[in-house]
Amino acid sequence: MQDKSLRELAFLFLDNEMDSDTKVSFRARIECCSETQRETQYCLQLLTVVRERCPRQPAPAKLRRRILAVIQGPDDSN
Amino acid sequence: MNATQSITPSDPGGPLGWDFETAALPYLDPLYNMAYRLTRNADDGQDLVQETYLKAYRHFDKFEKGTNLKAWLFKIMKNTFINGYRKRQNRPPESAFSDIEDAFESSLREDVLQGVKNPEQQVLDTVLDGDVQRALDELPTEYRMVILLVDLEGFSYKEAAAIIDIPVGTVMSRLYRGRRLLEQALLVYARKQGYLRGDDAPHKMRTDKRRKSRETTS
Repeated sequence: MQDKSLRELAFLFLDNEMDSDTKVSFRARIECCSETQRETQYCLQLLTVVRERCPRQPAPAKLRRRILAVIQGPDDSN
Repeated sequence: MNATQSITPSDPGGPLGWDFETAALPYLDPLYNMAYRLTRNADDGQDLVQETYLKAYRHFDKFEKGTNLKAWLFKIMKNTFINGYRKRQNRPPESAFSDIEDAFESSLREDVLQGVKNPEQQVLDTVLDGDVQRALDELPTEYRMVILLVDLEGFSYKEAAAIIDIPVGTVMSRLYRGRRLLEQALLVYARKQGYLRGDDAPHKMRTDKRRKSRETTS
């Protein structure tokens, strides 16, 4: 972990990819270090923007019918 | 693939004694979302999903019950996209990450961040939905894929690594670089929309926000 930048660590923390000991230690670092707090907050904001402002594309109904037709045979899809 | 072309299931109940449709079709929406983002085209996305399901159905006996079916389907989609579909699209080769990164950073150095104090936080508030989609669509496939899997589909690093068939460390580095490219693209869009422009950018953004707030409350 020591070779990672602050931003890399922040992403690991936010992605829940740290082991429990490292997570506890990084959480303590957030509480006592304003730079770590700021960077983690910024990374969270970036991830939130990507997750919330990239609308999901639902599958068209005709795609489901196409897939069922291929799997079941055309007669079964009607 | 012709939509009317069917395959003959050797065991309609599924080789593992459970129904393929019931198990796999709930993942249609996330698979289509991924396919749409990979191909950047609705028709191509639908074809990719159909091929994915067809392959999954044919090889359903190879799926180990109790393991992650969603990840298995995504892996088939990734292989279908990389090995066949993408080649048929006959797309020009994408730029190397380093070239794109250099271009972004050069642009930022020259006129985006000059004299601006800590603009990123304010800029992210102004990002439009279309900007995020465009930034994501313009990412090189390698970076787009890990961001789609981890950030939008919620796979862990380990699951994403298994789907793409790369080491976990490579997932981490692609994710880090991909997010960095996204961030930089969003800053560039903000500049083009006038939210970020040299020294006056933060002031302009604050003014716009105050105006919006007044309009909302009045």
